[in-house]
Amino acid sequence: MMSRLNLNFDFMSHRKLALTISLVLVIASIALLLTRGLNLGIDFTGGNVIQVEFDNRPEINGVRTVISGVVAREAMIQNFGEKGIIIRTNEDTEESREAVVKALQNNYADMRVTGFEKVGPVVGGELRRQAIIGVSIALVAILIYITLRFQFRFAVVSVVPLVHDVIIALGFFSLTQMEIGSSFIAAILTIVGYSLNNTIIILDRVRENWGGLSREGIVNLVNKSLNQTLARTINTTLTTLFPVIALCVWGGPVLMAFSYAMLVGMIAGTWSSMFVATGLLCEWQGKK
Amino acid sequence: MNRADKFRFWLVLIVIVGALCYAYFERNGLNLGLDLKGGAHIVLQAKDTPENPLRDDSIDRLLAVLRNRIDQYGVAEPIIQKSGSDRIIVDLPGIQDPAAALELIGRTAQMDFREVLASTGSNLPVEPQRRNYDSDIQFVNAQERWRQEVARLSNASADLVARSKTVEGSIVAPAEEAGMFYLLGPVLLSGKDLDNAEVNPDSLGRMGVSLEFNSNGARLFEDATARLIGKQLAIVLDNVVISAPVVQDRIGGGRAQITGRFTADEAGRLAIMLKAGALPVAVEIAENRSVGPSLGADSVKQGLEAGLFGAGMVLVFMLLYYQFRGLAADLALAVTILLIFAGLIAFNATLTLPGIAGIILTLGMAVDGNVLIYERIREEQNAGKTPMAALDSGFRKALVTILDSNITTLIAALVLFYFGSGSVRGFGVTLSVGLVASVFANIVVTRAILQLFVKRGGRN
Repeated sequence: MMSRLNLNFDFMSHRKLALTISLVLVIASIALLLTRGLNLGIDFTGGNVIQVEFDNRPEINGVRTVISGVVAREAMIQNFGEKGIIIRTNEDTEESREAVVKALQNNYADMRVTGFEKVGPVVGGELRRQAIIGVSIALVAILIYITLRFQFRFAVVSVVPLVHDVIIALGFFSLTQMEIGSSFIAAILTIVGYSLNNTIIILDRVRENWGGLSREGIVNLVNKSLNQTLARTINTTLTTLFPVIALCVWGGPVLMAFSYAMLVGMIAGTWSSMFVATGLLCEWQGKK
Repeated sequence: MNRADKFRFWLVLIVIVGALCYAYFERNGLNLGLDLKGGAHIVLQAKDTPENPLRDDSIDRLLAVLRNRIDQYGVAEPIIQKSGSDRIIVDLPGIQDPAAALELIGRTAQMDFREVLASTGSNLPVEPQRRNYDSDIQFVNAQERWRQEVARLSNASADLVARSKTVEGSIVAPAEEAGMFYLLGPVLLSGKDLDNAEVNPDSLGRMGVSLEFNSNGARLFEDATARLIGKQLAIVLDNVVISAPVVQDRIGGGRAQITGRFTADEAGRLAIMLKAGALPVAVEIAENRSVGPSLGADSVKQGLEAGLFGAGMVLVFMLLYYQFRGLAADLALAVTILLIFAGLIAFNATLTLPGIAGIILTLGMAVDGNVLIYERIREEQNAGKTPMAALDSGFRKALVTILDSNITTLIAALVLFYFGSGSVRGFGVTLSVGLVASVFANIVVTRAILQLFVKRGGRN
């Protein structure tokens, strides 16, 4: 049966170090975002994506030569799955796509178009606006809910880690230059939801132990709460990581960026719930 | 078991049986998104041009034109909907030739008036259904009559096509009703000659549609009506006959009235189609995505594989770590999955690739409730409570935490649903349904299962 764990790690004695690590990661992410930027997909920028499949897939350089005469600006060409190639161009007209397909057909008899996407510049801009509005509204709604259920201070220390997680996930994408599509917004919001879930569960325990604040002091109280919820934190992190890892490994190329965003976000989310939210609470409470 | 336990137990049974029956008998099944089954997703943007300026009702006119065309094209379950004030989304599932679809949709509307030279007569009756007949013999006879009628109509329309070759400028065009065709003479006047069309009930309250022509149209219309008294004049929008009224009289002055047995809705529809032909809306293609059926099938397969692996690992982990209680959690997880699919069918939601990813993630999150509850029960037992008392207080204390954490996530999911579009919206729906299903499974199903065994076994 279940063993009786009586954990008593002193997490909060390292809170300054943990907060510093987080701060460094956030600053590094912001620096990356400002210098390297993000590899925004056509969902945001507008453009054409063409997915084709060959019986015998040619070398990418060969395909690049074939296409270079047709599109004015540099096209991005990648292998996709086992037989496929995916071609992205910044030109968002139907004619541009047809020209690319025609050029490929002339050179490769065994080529089939398996799918294409074209997004005009208007739609792209709208999606970006939608994403920013969506995330902002979600954050404000969450702030209000936590203020009502807990207190304002808890609301602030649970929203800061969310911003932390989102910035780090974005930084990771800036570092790897993986492409960001519309499903990335879904991934970011899931990360927000997941990290929040973790934070709420820890803060919920802090609230339960709140009565002993004057006796134990904030640091001991937070440590006690963290230890009491530690088994749950570890187990849930594992059970959520299993499916995410499965998605990264077997989910296929279409879900790739989504899956990696989730993976990074979840690791950042677990970290920030355990150290950033609680560390901030200790610092803030300790000031008074 | 006390009364609350019994209630919980029966609730679980009823929900499970209900969800199973619903998922099994609901004939529509689960809608798969275009990214999974293949098809074209096209967003049209109405364009403001000097010849075709945008007005308040431009989008409604465009919508009418598109419905008219796509209905004739015969795509199964097309989705045609307004998006904002100047955009229309067209989803055509499973089409094989996206280029042809684009050609069909991107065209500017074309309307003209032509003389009806002949028609196949009656439209096609509805195919007989077995349940409407008392015996098999009657049903077989009805089917036979129906087949003869189909054959007659198809011969008649072939006959029209043959005749159209002998008349200069004539065409064969289908009526809006299935199976009926018209042989039409040359163009008498075109949509450009029509200024306006409006629903206009007569003094007796009968519905009608009034037409208003410009000066050129008025002259052409007078000539045409003078020649066609007692005959039918067809109004053709994008090669489909939308109305074929009989000319009662020579009509001068550029104002005409179509009367008939219209309902208010039918008259409104005819008026908007006439306006669409008179004031065509120019469009440009703002977004165009097409997924071939094979790519879609690959995505489904990979998504399912990842889902099965992920779910398998979660099930095994729970079983290893929590043993008997893990089994209860695994059963609750199975109920969660069942409820998610039943819920998606009930909300008529569309399952997209990010949606599948959402479900896979929900699997991990769903057992979070179980983990919370079990860790609580363990704490209560460590504090010296009996198994049954530990169970009760464990559930009670974990409940607040579970609700708080899921409601905050639900807020994010609902925001996605309201502010997102397309696949992001689909993800919001799946996540919301998943959260509600998993909370139910955590706090009701798991408890019912555990109580059943704690009671019977004396201890867990």
